[in-house]
Amino acid sequence: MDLTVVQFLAAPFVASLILTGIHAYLGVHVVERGVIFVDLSLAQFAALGAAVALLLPITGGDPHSSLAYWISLAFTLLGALLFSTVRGHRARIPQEAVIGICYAVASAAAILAMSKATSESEHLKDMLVGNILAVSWYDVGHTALLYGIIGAFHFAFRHRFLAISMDPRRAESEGIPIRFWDFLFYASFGFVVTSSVAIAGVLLVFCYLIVPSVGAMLYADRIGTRLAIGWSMGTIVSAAGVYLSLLLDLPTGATIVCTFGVALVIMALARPVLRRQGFAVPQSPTGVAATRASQVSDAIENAAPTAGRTSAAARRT
Amino acid sequence: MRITPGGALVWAKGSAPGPNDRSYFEQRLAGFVTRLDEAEKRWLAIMAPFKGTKVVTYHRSFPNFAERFGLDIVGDVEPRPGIPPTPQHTLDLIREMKRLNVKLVLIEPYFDSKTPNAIGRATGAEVLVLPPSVGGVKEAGDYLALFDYDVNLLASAIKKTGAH
Repeated sequence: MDLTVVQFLAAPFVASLILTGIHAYLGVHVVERGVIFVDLSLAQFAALGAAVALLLPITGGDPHSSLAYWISLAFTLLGALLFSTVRGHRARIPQEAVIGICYAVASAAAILAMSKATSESEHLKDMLVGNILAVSWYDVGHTALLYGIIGAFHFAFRHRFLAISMDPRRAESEGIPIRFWDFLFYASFGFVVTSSVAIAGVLLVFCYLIVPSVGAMLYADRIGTRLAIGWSMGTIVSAAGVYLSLLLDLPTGATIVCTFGVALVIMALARPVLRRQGFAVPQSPTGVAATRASQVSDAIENAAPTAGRTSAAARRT
Repeated sequence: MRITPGGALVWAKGSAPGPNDRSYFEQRLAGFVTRLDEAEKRWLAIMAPFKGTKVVTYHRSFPNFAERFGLDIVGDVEPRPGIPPTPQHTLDLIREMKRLNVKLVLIEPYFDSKTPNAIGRATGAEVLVLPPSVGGVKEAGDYLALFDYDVNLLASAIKKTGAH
């Protein structure tokens, strides 16, 4: 690997570290809330905003201007408002339905917007998997600053945010205004997702949010441990994904997404093996997605040879 | 740009006017020919010191322009139109540009400048947006103004980056 390659990859790699940092944390909340698709949908709103911004004469067709960011953000916040008003046991329609419909409509609307602009297929690819190799040090610095501020905000109010994510009914009974804090969560989330989508695209942002958190849930209950595992996984997968994309000459963003998938499968497969070796792997992790993830690893365990099955079954009772 | 000054002349002379307009047309044609000849001498004079300057384009574009004004196109950003370049191609292009000391990337206004800008940052090259047709930028109001704009932009960029 010569100097040209290292220089070329430096800014993209640092960008992926920043994305890992903030998204692994936000992902813990999103997975705890059990509405996995909200970030996919919000990311798509951001992408729709960016596509619309391309068409407006004031941006001059420049998709990377700061005005385009603000327009994109406006769309994301609109989505945040929409989702926070639908949440809650008093809502008539299941939230998943609203989120799914919004995702589908926003995607199609973005394609409509792009059909009116030039470089249509490139913008479409950028929308889905981004163009992380083209990121500049200016973009990296700008993103680090913004995410640092939002991270600080979340750290300051972490107990409040954790309360409404992990046990909203109890939080409500304690008098915490759920819809207000929900909106704050989604709004700060929106700021992050809007700029992440501009760099990494909808699918890759979704992966950074969900996969490290789910992978960590297989192995830990405590938030601190989950964050550590999530950050490690995100970092390793980013590096591996970028390297593989160069080696196999494939689009980088899409390669990182696939690498996340493979890494998660490996982590799920390793779980029963590590359990048998005596590592302290949690038996009953909390949360909807974690339960599904542990069902996957349990299913794999059940397919193992007799000796393993017996001892695992014995441990479970 | 598909039409070079010479090509424009062939096209203009080949246009057939109606019988009533003939003398008016020939008068206007003569005027155009004169202005075009003078302008072409001017453009060639501006570009003469920079003959052989190596550039990179977005696609295989500007071939006639490059040939007429002595530019050497050594590569393109997106080799397969509509299909975003692979990381390896971009890296190879950057290495080639560094090897040949190419300091200019010429792109049309309707292409996304994200990847060209990244290439520019990696090689120290300048990304120039050259409109290929009239109306591409507001200064390129007519055919002669288009070439004036493009040639002057190119010349000052070559001087600035020391590309030649």
